[in-house]
Amino acid sequence: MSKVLESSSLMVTFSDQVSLHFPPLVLEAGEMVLLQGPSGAGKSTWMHAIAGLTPFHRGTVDIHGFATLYAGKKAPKQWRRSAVSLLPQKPFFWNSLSLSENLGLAAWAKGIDPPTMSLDALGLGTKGAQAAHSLSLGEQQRVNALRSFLGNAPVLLADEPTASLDDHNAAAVMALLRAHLEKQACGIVVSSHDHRLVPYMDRIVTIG
Amino acid sequence: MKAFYFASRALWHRRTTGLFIALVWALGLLGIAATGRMERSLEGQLTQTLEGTDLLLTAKGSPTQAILANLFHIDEPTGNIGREEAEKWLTHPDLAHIRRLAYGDNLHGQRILGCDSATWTHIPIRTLQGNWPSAPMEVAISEAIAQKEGLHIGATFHGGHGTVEDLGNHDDHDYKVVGIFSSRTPLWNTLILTTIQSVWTVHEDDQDAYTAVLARIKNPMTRLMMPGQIQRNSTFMAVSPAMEANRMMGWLNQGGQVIRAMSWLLTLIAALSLVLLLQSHIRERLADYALVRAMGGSWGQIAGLVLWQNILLALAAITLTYLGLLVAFYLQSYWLPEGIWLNETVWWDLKFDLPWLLLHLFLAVFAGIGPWIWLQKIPLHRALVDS
Repeated sequence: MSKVLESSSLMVTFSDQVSLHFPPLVLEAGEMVLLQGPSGAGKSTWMHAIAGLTPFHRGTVDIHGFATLYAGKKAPKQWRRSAVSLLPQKPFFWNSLSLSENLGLAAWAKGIDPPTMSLDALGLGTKGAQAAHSLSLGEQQRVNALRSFLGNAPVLLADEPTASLDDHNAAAVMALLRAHLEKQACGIVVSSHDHRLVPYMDRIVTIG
Repeated sequence: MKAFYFASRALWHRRTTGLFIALVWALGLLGIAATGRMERSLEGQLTQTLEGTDLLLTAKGSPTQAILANLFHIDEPTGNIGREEAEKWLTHPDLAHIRRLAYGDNLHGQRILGCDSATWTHIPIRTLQGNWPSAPMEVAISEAIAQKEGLHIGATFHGGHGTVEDLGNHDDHDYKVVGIFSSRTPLWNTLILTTIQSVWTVHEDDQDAYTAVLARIKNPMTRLMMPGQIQRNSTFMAVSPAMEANRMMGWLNQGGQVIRAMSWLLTLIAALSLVLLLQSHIRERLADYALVRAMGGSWGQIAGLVLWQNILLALAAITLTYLGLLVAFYLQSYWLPEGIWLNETVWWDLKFDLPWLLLHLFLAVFAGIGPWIWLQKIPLHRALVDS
Protein backbone atom coordinates (compact mmCIF):
# COMPACT_ATOMS: atom_id res chain seq x y z
CA MET A 1 0.00 0.00 0.00
CA SER A 2 1.16 3.53 -0.68
CA LYS A 3 0.80 6.58 1.50
CA VAL A 4 -1.78 9.10 0.34
CA LEU A 5 -1.57 11.39 3.38
CA GLU A 6 1.20 12.15 5.82
CA SER A 7 0.53 14.77 8.41
CA SER A 8 3.11 15.67 11.05
CA SER A 9 2.07 16.91 14.52
CA LEU A 10 -0.16 19.86 13.79
CA MET A 11 -0.91 22.78 16.05
CA VAL A 12 -3.86 25.08 15.43
CA THR A 13 -4.04 28.31 17.41
CA PHE A 14 -7.24 30.29 17.62
CA SER A 15 -7.59 34.06 17.96
CA ASP A 16 -8.10 33.69 21.73
CA GLN A 17 -4.65 32.06 21.88
CA VAL A 18 -6.10 28.64 22.67
CA SER A 19 -4.07 25.97 20.84
CA LEU A 20 -4.99 22.46 19.83
CA HIS A 21 -2.31 19.84 19.19
CA PHE A 22 -2.91 16.86 16.93
CA PRO A 23 -0.80 13.70 16.61
CA PRO A 24 0.94 12.67 13.40
CA LEU A 25 -1.28 10.80 10.96
CA VAL A 26 -0.37 8.58 8.04
CA LEU A 27 -3.08 7.29 5.73
CA GLU A 28 -2.52 4.52 3.24
CA ALA A 29 -4.39 4.15 -0.04
CA GLY A 30 -7.48 1.99 0.48
CA GLU A 31 -7.50 2.64 4.22
CA MET A 32 -10.41 4.00 6.24
CA VAL A 33 -9.57 5.50 9.64
CA LEU A 34 -11.98 6.43 12.39
CA LEU A 35 -11.11 9.58 14.30
CA GLN A 36 -12.56 9.42 17.77
CA GLY A 37 -12.53 11.83 20.65
CA PRO A 38 -14.79 13.74 23.01
CA SER A 39 -16.68 16.83 21.88
CA GLY A 40 -14.39 19.82 21.80
CA ALA A 41 -11.26 17.70 21.26
CA GLY A 42 -10.91 19.30 17.85
CA LYS A 43 -11.81 16.52 15.42
CA SER A 44 -13.44 18.93 12.94
CA THR A 45 -10.62 21.44 13.38
CA TRP A 46 -8.02 18.79 12.59
CA MET A 47 -9.90 17.72 9.48
CA HIS A 48 -10.35 21.31 8.35
CA ALA A 49 -6.66 21.99 8.91
CA ILE A 50 -5.75 19.04 6.69
CA ALA A 51 -8.36 20.20 4.13
CA GLY A 52 -6.81 23.68 4.05
CA LEU A 53 -9.92 25.37 5.43
CA THR A 54 -8.26 26.67 8.57
CA PRO A 55 -4.61 27.60 8.98
CA PHE A 56 -2.35 25.54 11.25
CA HIS A 57 0.61 27.05 13.03
CA ARG A 58 3.00 24.16 13.33
CA GLY A 59 3.61 21.07 11.20
CA THR A 60 3.22 20.02 7.56
CA VAL A 61 0.70 18.08 5.53
CA ASP A 62 1.74 15.99 2.53
CA ILE A 63 -0.72 14.52 0.09
CA HIS A 64 0.51 12.27 -2.65
CA GLY A 65 0.86 14.19 -5.91
CA PHE A 66 0.57 17.66 -4.37
CA ALA A 67 3.06 20.18 -3.01
CA THR A 68 3.52 20.06 0.80
CA LEU A 69 1.24 22.34 2.80
CA TYR A 70 3.33 24.21 5.37
CA ALA A 71 2.31 25.84 8.65
CA GLY A 72 1.14 29.42 8.28
CA LYS A 73 0.57 29.05 4.53
CA LYS A 74 -2.78 29.35 2.86
CA ALA A 75 -3.86 26.22 1.03
CA PRO A 76 -3.90 26.82 -2.73
CA LYS A 77 -7.17 26.48 -4.62
CA GLN A 78 -5.92 23.25 -6.18
CA TRP A 79 -5.52 21.70 -2.73
CA ARG A 80 -9.19 22.29 -1.93
CA ARG A 81 -10.25 21.25 -5.42
CA SER A 82 -8.29 18.07 -5.98
CA ALA A 83 -6.15 16.99 -3.02
CA VAL A 84 -8.81 16.70 -0.33
CA SER A 85 -12.52 16.18 -0.54
CA LEU A 86 -14.77 17.08 2.36
CA LEU A 87 -17.97 15.32 3.38
CA PRO A 88 -19.51 17.77 5.86
CA GLN A 89 -21.86 16.70 8.64
CA LYS A 90 -24.67 18.77 7.13
CA PRO A 91 -25.09 18.61 3.35
CA PHE A 92 -25.43 22.42 2.79
CA PHE A 93 -27.33 22.04 -0.45
CA TRP A 94 -28.39 25.21 -2.26
CA ASN A 95 -32.12 25.35 -1.71
CA SER A 96 -32.55 27.23 -5.02
CA LEU A 97 -31.14 24.28 -6.97
CA SER A 98 -32.35 20.78 -7.66
CA LEU A 99 -30.44 17.73 -6.51
CA SER A 100 -28.73 17.28 -9.90
CA GLU A 101 -27.95 20.98 -10.08
CA ASN A 102 -26.32 20.82 -6.65
CA LEU A 103 -24.02 18.12 -7.99
CA GLY A 104 -23.40 20.35 -11.03
CA LEU A 105 -22.51 23.26 -8.73
CA ALA A 106 -19.96 21.10 -6.90
CA ALA A 107 -18.40 19.96 -10.19
CA TRP A 108 -18.25 23.57 -11.37
CA ALA A 109 -16.54 24.64 -8.11
CA LYS A 110 -14.00 21.82 -8.52
CA GLY A 111 -13.40 22.79 -12.14
CA ILE A 112 -14.41 19.41 -13.54
CA ASP A 113 -17.08 18.31 -15.99
CA PRO A 114 -20.59 17.81 -14.64
CA PRO A 115 -20.96 14.39 -13.01
CA THR A 116 -21.96 11.52 -15.23
CA MET A 117 -22.64 9.23 -12.30
CA SER A 118 -26.24 8.50 -11.85
CA LEU A 119 -28.43 9.07 -8.85
CA ASP A 120 -29.88 5.66 -9.79
CA ALA A 121 -27.06 4.04 -7.85
CA LEU A 122 -28.49 5.66 -4.73
CA GLY A 123 -32.03 4.70 -5.63
CA LEU A 124 -32.79 8.37 -6.25
CA GLY A 125 -32.92 8.30 -10.04
CA THR A 126 -36.35 9.89 -10.21
CA LYS A 127 -35.53 12.65 -7.74
CA GLY A 128 -32.79 14.49 -9.63
CA ALA A 129 -35.05 17.42 -10.51
CA GLN A 130 -36.38 17.80 -6.98
CA ALA A 131 -35.18 20.37 -4.48
CA ALA A 132 -32.69 18.82 -2.08
CA HIS A 133 -34.74 19.74 0.98
CA SER A 134 -37.63 17.59 -0.26
CA LEU A 135 -35.52 14.47 0.36
CA SER A 136 -35.26 12.60 3.63
CA LEU A 137 -32.19 13.19 5.80
CA GLY A 138 -30.80 9.78 4.86
CA GLU A 139 -31.27 10.47 1.16
CA GLN A 140 -29.65 13.88 1.52
CA GLN A 141 -26.64 12.39 3.27
CA ARG A 142 -26.19 9.76 0.55
CA VAL A 143 -26.19 12.50 -2.11
CA ASN A 144 -23.82 14.47 0.12
CA ALA A 145 -21.46 11.48 0.05
CA LEU A 146 -21.86 11.14 -3.71
CA ARG A 147 -20.94 14.82 -4.09
CA SER A 148 -17.75 14.34 -2.04
CA PHE A 149 -16.63 11.64 -4.48
CA LEU A 150 -16.52 14.18 -7.35
CA GLY A 151 -13.00 14.73 -8.61
CA ASN A 152 -11.71 11.53 -6.98
CA ALA A 153 -9.46 13.31 -4.48
CA PRO A 154 -6.81 11.00 -2.92
CA VAL A 155 -7.99 11.98 0.57
CA LEU A 156 -11.62 12.11 1.70
CA LEU A 157 -12.44 13.64 5.09
CA ALA A 158 -15.90 12.76 6.40
CA ASP A 159 -17.09 14.79 9.37
CA GLU A 160 -19.75 12.95 11.42
CA PRO A 161 -21.38 11.52 8.27
CA THR A 162 -23.88 9.37 10.16
CA ALA A 163 -24.61 11.64 13.13
CA SER A 164 -28.36 12.00 12.59
CA LEU A 165 -29.06 8.83 10.67
CA ASP A 166 -30.88 5.67 11.62
CA ASP A 167 -29.13 2.32 11.34
CA HIS A 168 -30.37 1.66 7.83
CA ASN A 169 -29.23 5.01 6.45
CA ALA A 170 -25.97 4.97 8.41
CA ALA A 171 -25.19 1.59 6.87
CA ALA A 172 -26.07 2.89 3.41
CA VAL A 173 -23.70 5.86 3.75
CA MET A 174 -20.89 3.66 5.06
CA ALA A 175 -21.44 1.21 2.24
CA LEU A 176 -21.06 4.07 -0.22
CA LEU A 177 -17.82 5.20 1.43
CA ARG A 178 -16.45 1.67 1.45
CA ALA A 179 -17.32 1.15 -2.22
CA HIS A 180 -15.64 4.42 -3.17
CA LEU A 181 -12.55 3.51 -1.16
CA GLU A 182 -12.21 0.21 -2.95
CA LYS A 183 -12.86 1.65 -6.37
CA GLN A 184 -10.60 4.70 -6.14
CA ALA A 185 -7.91 3.44 -3.74
CA CYS A 186 -8.05 6.70 -1.86
CA GLY A 187 -7.75 7.19 1.91
CA ILE A 188 -10.71 8.12 4.07
CA VAL A 189 -10.74 9.67 7.53
CA VAL A 190 -14.07 9.61 9.33
CA SER A 191 -14.56 11.64 12.47
CA SER A 192 -17.40 10.36 14.61
CA HIS A 193 -18.70 9.38 18.02
CA ASP A 194 -20.80 6.74 16.33
CA HIS A 195 -19.80 3.28 17.54
CA ARG A 196 -21.85 1.73 14.73
CA LEU A 197 -19.01 2.71 12.38
CA VAL A 198 -16.28 0.71 14.09
CA PRO A 199 -16.82 -2.48 12.00
CA TYR A 200 -16.26 -0.52 8.79
CA MET A 201 -12.88 0.86 9.88
CA ASP A 202 -9.36 -0.37 9.23
CA ARG A 203 -7.93 1.62 12.12
CA ILE A 204 -9.05 3.90 14.96
CA VAL A 205 -7.21 7.06 16.05
CA THR A 206 -8.26 8.65 19.31
CA ILE A 207 -7.50 12.24 20.26
CA GLY A 208 -8.24 14.41 23.29
CA MET B 1 -22.32 30.94 -17.93
CA LYS B 2 -22.68 28.42 -15.11
CA ALA B 3 -22.25 31.26 -12.61
CA PHE B 4 -25.01 33.14 -14.41
CA TYR B 5 -27.30 30.13 -14.18
CA PHE B 6 -26.66 29.41 -10.48
CA ALA B 7 -27.00 33.14 -9.65
CA SER B 8 -30.26 33.44 -11.58
CA ARG B 9 -31.67 30.43 -9.71
CA ALA B 10 -30.60 31.91 -6.37
CA LEU B 11 -32.26 35.20 -7.31
CA TRP B 12 -35.41 33.48 -8.53
CA HIS B 13 -35.64 31.70 -5.19
CA ARG B 14 -36.15 35.08 -3.47
CA ARG B 15 -37.96 36.74 -6.36
CA THR B 16 -40.53 38.68 -4.30
CA THR B 17 -37.91 40.77 -2.52
CA GLY B 18 -35.89 41.01 -5.72
CA LEU B 19 -38.87 42.25 -7.69
CA PHE B 20 -39.66 44.87 -5.07
CA ILE B 21 -36.10 46.24 -5.23
CA ALA B 22 -36.15 46.13 -9.04
CA LEU B 23 -39.42 48.11 -8.98
CA VAL B 24 -38.00 50.82 -6.68
CA TRP B 25 -34.93 50.96 -8.87
CA ALA B 26 -37.02 51.11 -12.05
CA LEU B 27 -39.04 54.00 -10.61
CA GLY B 28 -35.83 55.95 -10.14
CA LEU B 29 -34.59 55.08 -13.62
CA LEU B 30 -37.96 55.92 -15.12
CA GLY B 31 -37.82 59.38 -13.55
CA ILE B 32 -34.35 59.99 -14.99
CA ALA B 33 -35.16 58.58 -18.43
CA ALA B 34 -38.58 60.20 -18.80
CA THR B 35 -37.47 63.66 -17.63
CA GLY B 36 -34.59 63.73 -20.10
CA ARG B 37 -36.85 62.58 -22.92
CA MET B 38 -39.59 65.09 -22.12
CA GLU B 39 -37.10 67.94 -21.99
CA ARG B 40 -35.51 66.99 -25.29
CA SER B 41 -38.86 66.40 -26.94
CA LEU B 42 -40.39 69.67 -25.72
CA GLU B 43 -37.25 71.63 -26.53
CA GLY B 44 -37.29 70.21 -30.06
CA GLN B 45 -40.96 71.07 -30.52
CA LEU B 46 -40.46 74.51 -29.06
CA THR B 47 -37.59 75.25 -31.43
CA GLN B 48 -39.58 73.94 -34.40
CA THR B 49 -42.70 75.89 -33.46
CA LEU B 50 -40.89 79.15 -32.79
CA GLU B 51 -38.85 78.98 -35.97
CA GLY B 52 -39.51 82.12 -38.04
CA THR B 53 -41.44 83.79 -35.21
CA ASP B 54 -39.63 86.62 -33.42
CA LEU B 55 -42.65 88.72 -32.54
CA LEU B 56 -46.13 88.02 -31.20
CA LEU B 57 -48.67 90.82 -30.99
CA THR B 58 -51.83 90.11 -29.02
CA ALA B 59 -54.10 91.52 -26.32
CA LYS B 60 -52.46 92.33 -22.99
CA GLY B 61 -52.32 89.47 -20.53
CA SER B 62 -49.99 86.67 -19.59
CA PRO B 63 -47.15 86.30 -22.13
CA THR B 64 -46.96 82.57 -21.44
CA GLN B 65 -50.68 82.16 -22.01
CA ALA B 66 -50.39 84.21 -25.23
CA ILE B 67 -47.64 81.92 -26.53
CA LEU B 68 -49.46 78.74 -25.53
CA ALA B 69 -52.65 80.02 -27.20
CA ASN B 70 -51.29 81.53 -30.39
CA LEU B 71 -48.25 79.38 -31.13
CA PHE B 72 -49.12 76.06 -29.50
CA HIS B 73 -52.91 76.46 -29.69
CA ILE B 74 -53.44 74.83 -26.27
CA ASP B 75 -54.59 77.72 -24.07
CA GLU B 76 -57.26 80.43 -24.24
CA PRO B 77 -56.19 83.56 -26.16
CA THR B 78 -55.71 86.69 -24.06
CA GLY B 79 -58.19 88.58 -26.30
CA ASN B 80 -58.28 90.49 -29.60
CA ILE B 81 -56.36 93.47 -30.90
CA GLY B 82 -57.53 96.19 -33.28
CA ARG B 83 -56.77 95.53 -36.92
CA GLU B 84 -56.14 99.17 -37.82
CA GLU B 85 -53.65 99.77 -34.98
CA ALA B 86 -51.87 96.51 -35.67
CA GLU B 87 -51.53 97.14 -39.38
CA LYS B 88 -49.74 100.43 -38.68
CA TRP B 89 -46.93 98.49 -36.95
CA LEU B 90 -46.88 95.81 -39.59
CA THR B 91 -45.54 98.25 -42.18
CA HIS B 92 -42.19 98.29 -40.30
CA PRO B 93 -39.45 97.45 -42.83
CA ASP B 94 -37.71 94.95 -40.52
CA LEU B 95 -40.82 92.75 -40.26
CA ALA B 96 -41.19 89.79 -42.58
CA HIS B 97 -43.31 86.68 -42.91
CA ILE B 98 -46.26 88.32 -41.13
CA ARG B 99 -49.08 85.97 -40.17
CA ARG B 100 -52.41 87.23 -38.88
CA LEU B 101 -54.58 84.94 -36.74
CA ALA B 102 -58.18 85.14 -35.58
CA TYR B 103 -59.79 82.64 -33.22
CA GLY B 104 -63.46 82.13 -32.89
CA ASP B 105 -64.96 78.70 -33.16
CA ASN B 106 -64.47 75.01 -32.70
CA LEU B 107 -65.79 71.74 -34.02
CA HIS B 108 -66.35 69.34 -31.13
CA GLY B 109 -63.50 71.00 -29.23
CA GLN B 110 -61.12 71.15 -32.22
CA ARG B 111 -60.15 74.76 -32.80
CA ILE B 112 -61.05 76.60 -35.98
CA LEU B 113 -58.22 79.02 -36.61
CA GLY B 114 -58.57 81.94 -39.01
CA CYS B 115 -55.32 82.63 -40.80
CA ASP B 116 -54.07 84.72 -43.69
CA SER B 117 -52.41 83.07 -46.67
CA ALA B 118 -48.88 83.60 -45.24
CA THR B 119 -49.65 80.89 -42.70
CA TRP B 120 -49.95 78.22 -45.38
CA THR B 121 -46.25 78.54 -46.24
CA HIS B 122 -45.37 78.30 -42.55
CA ILE B 123 -46.97 74.89 -42.01
CA PRO B 124 -44.56 71.96 -42.48
CA ILE B 125 -46.77 69.91 -44.74
CA ARG B 126 -46.42 66.21 -45.43
CA THR B 127 -49.44 65.92 -47.76
CA LEU B 128 -52.24 68.18 -48.99
CA GLN B 129 -55.31 67.06 -50.91
CA GLY B 130 -57.39 69.88 -52.40
CA ASN B 131 -56.45 73.46 -51.60
CA TRP B 132 -55.83 75.84 -48.76
CA PRO B 133 -58.88 78.00 -47.97
CA SER B 134 -59.04 81.19 -50.04
CA ALA B 135 -62.62 82.38 -49.62
CA PRO B 136 -64.77 82.95 -46.50
CA MET B 137 -66.13 79.77 -44.84
CA GLU B 138 -63.68 77.49 -46.62
CA VAL B 139 -61.60 75.24 -44.36
CA ALA B 140 -58.66 72.88 -44.58
CA ILE B 141 -58.63 70.10 -42.00
CA SER B 142 -56.01 67.61 -40.95
CA GLU B 143 -56.29 63.96 -41.96
CA ALA B 144 -56.75 63.05 -38.30
CA ILE B 145 -59.75 65.37 -37.94
CA ALA B 146 -61.19 64.27 -41.29
CA GLN B 147 -61.06 60.69 -40.10
CA LYS B 148 -62.43 61.46 -36.65
CA GLU B 149 -65.30 63.66 -37.87
CA GLY B 150 -65.99 61.68 -41.03
CA LEU B 151 -65.39 64.75 -43.21
CA HIS B 152 -64.21 64.83 -46.82
CA ILE B 153 -63.54 67.49 -49.41
CA GLY B 154 -66.82 69.21 -50.20
CA ALA B 155 -68.39 68.32 -46.84
CA THR B 156 -69.93 71.09 -44.71
CA PHE B 157 -70.36 71.56 -40.96
CA HIS B 158 -71.38 74.11 -38.33
CA GLY B 159 -68.87 75.49 -35.88
CA GLY B 160 -69.45 75.82 -32.14
CA HIS B 161 -68.76 79.18 -30.53
CA GLY B 162 -65.42 79.72 -28.77
CA THR B 163 -62.39 77.49 -28.51
CA VAL B 164 -64.10 74.85 -26.36
CA GLU B 165 -67.22 72.74 -26.87
CA ASP B 166 -70.74 73.52 -25.63
CA LEU B 167 -70.75 77.29 -25.86
CA GLY B 168 -73.49 77.28 -28.53
CA ASN B 169 -73.50 76.61 -32.28
CA HIS B 170 -73.35 78.95 -35.25
CA ASP B 171 -76.09 77.10 -37.11
CA ASP B 172 -76.54 79.82 -39.67
CA HIS B 173 -73.00 79.56 -41.05
CA ASP B 174 -71.69 76.46 -42.83
CA TYR B 175 -67.99 75.75 -43.16
CA LYS B 176 -66.98 73.86 -46.29
CA VAL B 177 -63.97 71.52 -46.47
CA VAL B 178 -61.70 72.42 -49.44
CA GLY B 179 -58.47 70.78 -48.32
CA ILE B 180 -57.19 67.88 -46.19
CA PHE B 181 -53.59 68.04 -45.00
CA SER B 182 -51.15 66.24 -42.81
CA SER B 183 -48.33 68.10 -41.05
CA ARG B 184 -44.99 66.90 -39.72
CA THR B 185 -45.58 69.06 -36.63
CA PRO B 186 -48.27 67.42 -34.47
CA LEU B 187 -49.89 70.66 -33.27
CA TRP B 188 -51.08 71.62 -36.77
CA ASN B 189 -52.85 68.27 -37.04
CA THR B 190 -55.12 69.33 -34.18
CA LEU B 191 -56.48 72.41 -36.02
CA ILE B 192 -59.12 73.32 -38.56
CA LEU B 193 -57.73 76.15 -40.68
CA THR B 194 -59.83 78.79 -42.37
CA THR B 195 -59.49 82.35 -43.64
CA ILE B 196 -59.68 85.29 -41.26
CA GLN B 197 -62.72 86.49 -43.22
CA SER B 198 -64.57 83.33 -42.12
CA VAL B 199 -64.10 84.25 -38.46
CA TRP B 200 -65.21 87.82 -39.15
CA THR B 201 -68.26 86.54 -41.07
CA VAL B 202 -69.35 84.30 -38.19
CA HIS B 203 -68.55 86.87 -35.48
CA GLU B 204 -69.91 90.13 -36.75
CA ASP B 205 -68.95 91.91 -33.47
CA ASP B 206 -65.27 91.03 -33.88
CA GLN B 207 -64.81 92.37 -37.39
CA ASP B 208 -61.61 94.32 -37.88
CA ALA B 209 -59.91 92.44 -35.06
CA TYR B 210 -57.10 89.90 -34.93
CA THR B 211 -56.46 87.49 -32.08
CA ALA B 212 -52.74 87.73 -32.78
CA VAL B 213 -50.12 88.64 -35.31
CA LEU B 214 -46.89 86.64 -35.69
CA ALA B 215 -43.86 87.89 -37.58
CA ARG B 216 -40.17 87.41 -38.16
CA ILE B 217 -37.83 90.32 -37.43
CA LYS B 218 -35.05 90.48 -39.99
CA ASN B 219 -32.65 92.72 -38.09
CA PRO B 220 -31.14 91.12 -34.95
CA MET B 221 -30.85 94.49 -33.20
CA THR B 222 -34.50 95.29 -33.89
CA ARG B 223 -35.36 91.80 -32.62
CA LEU B 224 -34.19 92.86 -29.16
CA MET B 225 -35.69 96.35 -29.18
CA MET B 226 -38.96 96.07 -31.05
CA PRO B 227 -41.16 94.14 -28.61
CA GLY B 228 -40.48 96.70 -25.87
CA GLN B 229 -40.99 99.60 -28.27
CA ILE B 230 -44.40 98.30 -29.40
CA GLN B 231 -45.40 97.49 -25.83
CA ARG B 232 -44.74 101.08 -24.74
CA ASN B 233 -46.45 102.73 -27.72
CA SER B 234 -49.55 100.61 -28.33
CA THR B 235 -52.58 99.22 -26.59
CA PHE B 236 -51.47 95.62 -27.06
CA MET B 237 -48.83 93.26 -25.82
CA ALA B 238 -45.70 92.50 -27.84
CA VAL B 239 -43.86 89.35 -26.87
CA SER B 240 -40.57 87.87 -28.01
CA PRO B 241 -41.53 84.16 -28.16
CA ALA B 242 -37.89 83.06 -28.01
CA MET B 243 -37.32 84.88 -24.71
CA GLU B 244 -40.58 83.59 -23.25
CA ALA B 245 -39.77 80.10 -24.47
CA ASN B 246 -36.38 80.29 -22.77
CA ARG B 247 -38.12 81.25 -19.56
CA MET B 248 -40.59 78.37 -19.98
CA MET B 249 -37.75 75.92 -20.63
CA GLY B 250 -36.05 77.30 -17.52
CA TRP B 251 -39.11 76.38 -15.44
CA LEU B 252 -39.28 73.00 -17.09
CA ASN B 253 -35.60 72.40 -16.42
CA GLN B 254 -36.04 73.36 -12.78
CA GLY B 255 -38.96 70.97 -12.48
CA GLY B 256 -36.88 68.36 -14.29
CA GLN B 257 -34.01 68.85 -11.86
CA VAL B 258 -36.29 68.23 -8.88
CA ILE B 259 -37.65 65.05 -10.47
CA ARG B 260 -34.14 63.96 -11.39
CA ALA B 261 -32.86 64.54 -7.85
CA MET B 262 -35.71 62.45 -6.44
CA SER B 263 -35.07 59.77 -9.03
CA TRP B 264 -31.41 59.57 -8.11
CA LEU B 265 -32.42 59.27 -4.47
CA LEU B 266 -34.67 56.34 -5.37
CA THR B 267 -31.90 54.62 -7.32
CA LEU B 268 -29.49 55.09 -4.42
CA ILE B 269 -32.05 53.61 -2.02
CA ALA B 270 -32.43 50.71 -4.43
CA ALA B 271 -28.66 50.25 -4.59
CA LEU B 272 -28.46 50.24 -0.80
CA SER B 273 -31.30 47.72 -0.66
CA LEU B 274 -29.34 45.66 -3.14
CA VAL B 275 -26.35 45.54 -0.79
CA LEU B 276 -28.59 44.61 2.15
CA LEU B 277 -30.48 41.98 0.17
CA LEU B 278 -27.29 40.34 -0.97
CA GLN B 279 -25.68 40.61 2.44
CA SER B 280 -28.67 39.06 4.22
CA HIS B 281 -28.89 36.31 1.59
CA ILE B 282 -25.22 35.46 2.02
CA ARG B 283 -25.49 35.52 5.81
CA GLU B 284 -28.49 33.23 5.62
CA ARG B 285 -26.77 30.83 3.20
CA LEU B 286 -23.23 31.36 4.46
CA ALA B 287 -22.39 27.67 4.74
CA ASP B 288 -23.62 27.03 1.17
CA TYR B 289 -21.17 29.61 -0.14
CA ALA B 290 -18.46 28.42 2.23
CA LEU B 291 -18.85 24.89 0.90
CA VAL B 292 -18.44 26.15 -2.68
CA ARG B 293 -15.14 27.69 -1.54
CA ALA B 294 -14.22 24.56 0.41
CA MET B 295 -14.74 22.52 -2.74
CA GLY B 296 -12.21 24.74 -4.52
CA GLY B 297 -14.39 27.55 -5.86
CA SER B 298 -12.09 30.38 -6.96
CA TRP B 299 -12.53 34.06 -6.09
CA GLY B 300 -13.63 34.59 -9.69
CA GLN B 301 -16.31 31.91 -9.42
CA ILE B 302 -17.60 33.35 -6.14
CA ALA B 303 -17.60 36.82 -7.74
CA GLY B 304 -19.66 35.41 -10.60
CA LEU B 305 -22.20 33.90 -8.19
CA VAL B 306 -22.54 37.12 -6.20
CA LEU B 307 -22.25 39.83 -8.86
CA TRP B 308 -24.51 38.16 -11.42
CA GLN B 309 -27.34 38.33 -8.90
CA ASN B 310 -26.99 42.11 -8.72
CA ILE B 311 -26.49 42.51 -12.47
CA LEU B 312 -29.62 40.47 -13.09
CA LEU B 313 -31.57 42.68 -10.71
CA ALA B 314 -30.24 45.76 -12.52
CA LEU B 315 -31.26 44.28 -15.87
CA ALA B 316 -34.72 43.56 -14.46
CA ALA B 317 -34.94 47.19 -13.31
CA ILE B 318 -33.84 48.44 -16.75
CA THR B 319 -36.42 46.20 -18.45
CA LEU B 320 -39.13 47.52 -16.13
CA THR B 321 -37.96 51.07 -16.91
CA TYR B 322 -38.41 50.58 -20.65
CA LEU B 323 -41.81 49.00 -20.06
CA GLY B 324 -42.69 52.11 -18.03
CA LEU B 325 -41.46 54.36 -20.84
CA LEU B 326 -43.55 52.40 -23.31
CA VAL B 327 -46.65 52.78 -21.15
CA ALA B 328 -45.94 56.50 -20.61
CA PHE B 329 -45.53 57.02 -24.35
CA TYR B 330 -48.77 55.32 -25.27
CA LEU B 331 -50.72 56.90 -22.41
CA GLN B 332 -49.52 60.44 -23.08
CA SER B 333 -52.72 61.18 -24.99
CA TYR B 334 -54.53 61.03 -21.62
CA TRP B 335 -52.30 63.52 -19.83
CA LEU B 336 -50.79 65.80 -22.47
CA PRO B 337 -52.53 68.12 -24.95
CA GLU B 338 -52.37 66.65 -28.46
CA GLY B 339 -50.30 69.56 -29.78
CA ILE B 340 -47.35 68.78 -27.53
CA TRP B 341 -47.34 65.00 -27.63
CA LEU B 342 -43.87 63.67 -27.13
CA ASN B 343 -41.80 63.07 -30.18
CA GLU B 344 -41.52 59.37 -31.00
CA THR B 345 -38.06 59.77 -32.54
CA VAL B 346 -36.74 61.49 -29.41
CA TRP B 347 -38.52 59.06 -27.07
CA TRP B 348 -36.89 56.00 -28.59
CA ASP B 349 -33.49 57.53 -29.27
CA LEU B 350 -31.63 55.05 -27.08
CA LYS B 351 -28.15 56.48 -27.52
CA PHE B 352 -28.92 59.04 -24.80
CA ASP B 353 -29.57 56.15 -22.39
CA LEU B 354 -26.19 54.50 -22.74
CA PRO B 355 -24.36 56.57 -20.06
CA TRP B 356 -26.94 55.99 -17.31
CA LEU B 357 -27.42 52.35 -18.32
CA LEU B 358 -23.70 51.75 -17.91
CA LEU B 359 -23.67 53.77 -14.70
CA HIS B 360 -26.43 51.64 -13.18
CA LEU B 361 -24.80 48.40 -14.21
CA PHE B 362 -21.65 49.69 -12.56
CA LEU B 363 -23.70 50.55 -9.47
CA ALA B 364 -25.06 46.99 -9.42
CA VAL B 365 -21.55 45.55 -9.60
CA PHE B 366 -20.29 48.04 -7.01
CA ALA B 367 -23.11 47.11 -4.63
CA GLY B 368 -21.99 43.47 -4.86
CA ILE B 369 -18.31 44.09 -4.21
CA GLY B 370 -18.70 44.58 -0.43
CA PRO B 371 -20.59 41.32 0.18
CA TRP B 372 -18.22 39.48 -2.17
CA ILE B 373 -15.09 40.68 -0.34
CA TRP B 374 -16.71 39.78 2.97
CA LEU B 375 -17.44 36.31 1.60
CA GLN B 376 -13.80 35.94 0.53
CA LYS B 377 -12.61 36.81 4.02
CA ILE B 378 -14.85 34.59 6.14
CA PRO B 379 -13.01 31.71 7.87
CA LEU B 380 -14.33 28.59 6.11
CA HIS B 381 -13.81 26.43 9.17
CA ARG B 382 -16.06 28.64 11.33
CA ALA B 383 -18.68 29.05 8.59
CA LEU B 384 -19.04 25.27 8.23
CA VAL B 385 -18.82 24.37 11.92
CA ASP B 386 -21.10 27.15 13.22
CA SER B 387 -23.81 26.45 10.67
